[in-house]
Amino acid sequence: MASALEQFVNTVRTLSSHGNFRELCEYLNKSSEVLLKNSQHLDNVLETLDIQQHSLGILAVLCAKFSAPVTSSSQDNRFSQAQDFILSCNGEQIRFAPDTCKYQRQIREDPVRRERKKEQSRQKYLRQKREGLQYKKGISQLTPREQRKKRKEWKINSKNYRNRIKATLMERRQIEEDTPPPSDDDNFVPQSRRKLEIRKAVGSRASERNKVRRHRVKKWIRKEDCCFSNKDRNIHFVAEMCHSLTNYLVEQRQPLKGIILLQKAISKLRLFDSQLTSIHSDLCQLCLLAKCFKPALELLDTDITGICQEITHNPNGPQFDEKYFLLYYYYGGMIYLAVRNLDRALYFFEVAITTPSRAVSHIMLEAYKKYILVSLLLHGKIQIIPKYASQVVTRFIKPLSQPYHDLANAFTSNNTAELNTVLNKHTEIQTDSGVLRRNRRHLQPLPGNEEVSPSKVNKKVTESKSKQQEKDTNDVIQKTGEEMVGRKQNKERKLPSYLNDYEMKGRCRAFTRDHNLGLVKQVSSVLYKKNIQRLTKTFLTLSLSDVASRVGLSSPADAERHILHMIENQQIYATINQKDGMVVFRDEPDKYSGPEVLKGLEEQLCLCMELDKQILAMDEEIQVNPQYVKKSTGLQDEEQPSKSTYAM
Amino acid sequence: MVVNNIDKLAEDLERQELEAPNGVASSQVYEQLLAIYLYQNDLCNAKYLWKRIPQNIKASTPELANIWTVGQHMWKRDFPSIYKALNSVTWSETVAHIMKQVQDVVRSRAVDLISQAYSSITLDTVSAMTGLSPDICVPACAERGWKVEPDSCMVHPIRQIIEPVGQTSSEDQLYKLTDFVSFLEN
Repeated sequence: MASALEQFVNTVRTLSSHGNFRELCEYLNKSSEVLLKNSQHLDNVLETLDIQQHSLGILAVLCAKFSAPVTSSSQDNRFSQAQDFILSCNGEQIRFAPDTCKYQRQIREDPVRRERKKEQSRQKYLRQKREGLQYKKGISQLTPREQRKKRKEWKINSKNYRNRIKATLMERRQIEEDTPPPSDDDNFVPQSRRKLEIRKAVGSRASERNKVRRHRVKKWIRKEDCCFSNKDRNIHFVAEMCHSLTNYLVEQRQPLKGIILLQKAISKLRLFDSQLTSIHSDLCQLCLLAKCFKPALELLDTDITGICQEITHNPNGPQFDEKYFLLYYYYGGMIYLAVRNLDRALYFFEVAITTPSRAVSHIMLEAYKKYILVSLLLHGKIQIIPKYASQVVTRFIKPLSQPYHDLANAFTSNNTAELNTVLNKHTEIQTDSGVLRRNRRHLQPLPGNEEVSPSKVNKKVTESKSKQQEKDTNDVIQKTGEEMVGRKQNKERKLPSYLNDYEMKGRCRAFTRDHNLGLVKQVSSVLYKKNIQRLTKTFLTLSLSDVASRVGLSSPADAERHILHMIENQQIYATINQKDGMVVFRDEPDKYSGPEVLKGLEEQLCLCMELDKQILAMDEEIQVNPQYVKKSTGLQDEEQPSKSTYAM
Repeated sequence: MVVNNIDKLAEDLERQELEAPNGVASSQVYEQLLAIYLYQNDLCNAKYLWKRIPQNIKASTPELANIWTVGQHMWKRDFPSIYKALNSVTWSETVAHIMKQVQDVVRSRAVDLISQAYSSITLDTVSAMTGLSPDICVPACAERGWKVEPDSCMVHPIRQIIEPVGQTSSEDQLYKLTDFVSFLEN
C-alpha cells in the first residue's frame, strides 16, 4: 500500500521539477483512487511535498483528504492544511501551469531543447519524404515533361516574389526619402527588422479576408483546446477542494473562518474581476451562514460578465456546473435581501429564474418564490417575468408556488383584511406530519433530463436547513427519481395529478416551511405604506384620523409614525401639520433642470456605453466560436461572410 | 473625528474580525464595530453583527447589550428611547467617543426630518425627537429661523432646500459630451 504512495510522491516530484505540468495533471487524475484508498497515510505524503514547488500534487492530496471518509485523527488538521495551501500555494502552477502555449515558449527559449526539437522535425520530414507519405516527390523523381512544367512554375513564383520585394523596398525608400531623419544614427535598420517588414508586406498581399478569418478561428480553437484540456481541469481541482472545505466548515458550524480563505482562492483563480467561478457560491453560502455580508457584497456588486469553465470531461465541451450558477444568484439575492438592497435582490432572483433549463430545479423554485415576495415589496405587484425565461417556469413552478400567488392577489386588492386571511391560512400550524412529508415530496424538483440533476441541485439548498430535513429530502429524491422515469415515458402535457393533491393540502405552513415568513411579514407591513401612497393620488389634504381609518391603522398617532417613516425614506412627499392634525400631500419636488439630473443622466449613459462594449465583445466572441462558425457556414453559402448578429 | 477616520477604523475592525483565530474576535473589536455601524446608520449590518457575536462574549461584556439596545431603538426609530438608552449608561473608554458621535448624528438626522416633514409641530415633540429639554429647544429653534409660538407651544419649521454639491468643471463635461456623441453616432 505504502509503495503506491511512494511512487506517487516520486512521480509528482520529478514531474514538477521538470515543469511537466500537463503530464502531472493527467497523472493526478488517474491517481486519485490510489490516494483515496490510502487515506490514512495522506498526512505523511503532505509532509514530503513542498507547497511552493509541488502545489498541484498537494492539491490532489487535499482533495482526496476531503472526500475520504472522516476519521477522528484527520479531522482536526484538514482546515489548517487547506488554509496553508490557499495562502501560500503557487498561483501560477494552479492557474497557468499546464498551458501548452507556455510549454512551447519554454522550448523556444531553451537553445538545447530547441535544437533537439528542430532535429526531430527534420528527421520526420526526411522520413516522410523518403516514404513518399505526405510530401510530393522530389524533382529528380519526376518525368522530364513534369520537370519542365514544375520548373516553369517555380520561375514564375520566384519572379513574383522578387517583384513584390522590390515594390516594397521602393515604397519604403520613397517614404524614407520623404521623411526627414530624426537623428543621425537612426537611419540604420537592423537586418532582422528589415526581413520582418518584407515578410509582412508580402504576407498582407497574399492574404485574403477569408484566410484571415479562418486563421483566427483556427488559432482560437487551438487556444481553446489547450485551455480545456489542462488549465481548467486544474481549476476543477481547486474548486472541488473549496467545495469540500465549505461543506466541512458548514458541518463544523464555523463558517466565519473560511471567508477570507475563499476570497483568496477566488482572487487566485479568476482571470478577471467579473468572472464567475463556482467558489463564488461557496463564499456566498459561508457569508450567509456567518451572517457577515460585507465580504460577499464586494463580489456581488461587480456584475458577472464571464464564466470560468470548470468541467472539462463533458463530451459537449466544457461547462460550468449550473448548480453553482443558480446557487450564486440565489444566495446573492438572499444576501442583498438581508442588507435591504431590494433592487439588486430582485435582479439576482430574476437571473436565477430566467436561466435556460428544461427541468425544474429546486433552487429556481425557491428563487421564484422569493422573486414574487421581493417584487411585491419593491413594486407592489408581481413583475412580469421576462419572455426569455424557460417554459418550465410557467408550466411547473407557478403551480407549485400557489400560496405566493394567493398572497400577491390579496396584496393587489389593497385590502388588509384579505391579506391577513391569506397569511393566516398559509402560516397556521398543521399537526399532521404525514401530510407535511408528502407535501415536501411534491416540492422536489421534477427531473426530466440530464441537464439539471436533482440530487446535485438539491443537496446544497437543503444544507442550510436543518439536518433532519435534509435526511427527509434525500430519501425523497430517490422516490421522485423513480416516479419521474415513468412520467417521462408518458410525456403527459397536463400537470401531474399530485399537484392537485398539493393544491388541496399543501398550503398549510407554506410560508413557514419555505423560511419566508419574515419576508411575508414585511409584505404585509408594506401594504400600509402602499395604501398611504395611493391616498396621495386622491387627496391633497387629509386629517391623520382619516388616514388611519382609510388605511386600516389603529390610531392617528400610528398613521403619523408611518407617514414620518415614509417621508424619511422619500417614499412620499408630504407635510404633517400637528396643530390641526392634518397631512398635506405635495408633488414630487424633482426639478428636471438641476445639475443632479444631468449627473444622473451621465451615469446612466456611462452604464449604457459600458454595456454596449460588453455586448460587442461577446458578439465577437460568438463569431469566432468554432461551433457557431461551423453551423453558420453549414447553413449558408461558403462565400457569404457571416453577418454580425448584433447591430446598433 | 473625521468621517474618513471612522470608515478606516471600521474596515480595520472588519478585517480583524475575519482574521481572528477560531473566528472569534476580542470583545473590544465587537464593541467598536457595533458602535461604528450605529454611527454609520448601517442598521442591517449592526443587526447581523449582533447576531453573529458568540453567546459567551455577549455574556462577559454587558456593554455590548447596551450598545445594541440603542441600535434596537434606532431600528424602531423611537427617538426618545434612543436618547434615554444613550444617556443612561456611562460608556467605557473603547466606545465613548463613538457613542457621542452617534448621539450627534441621530440628533442632526432628527432635526432634518422635522424640517422636512412638519409644517407645525408641538414643542414637546421637538424636544422628544432631539432629546433636548424644551428650554434649550426654543433658542435652538429660533437660531435655525423656526418660528416658535409661545402661547400654543407650536414650532413652525422652515423647509430646507438641499443644495446640490459638487459642480464638475466645464472641461470635464465637454469631455464627457464628446464621449456620448461619439458613442451615439457610431
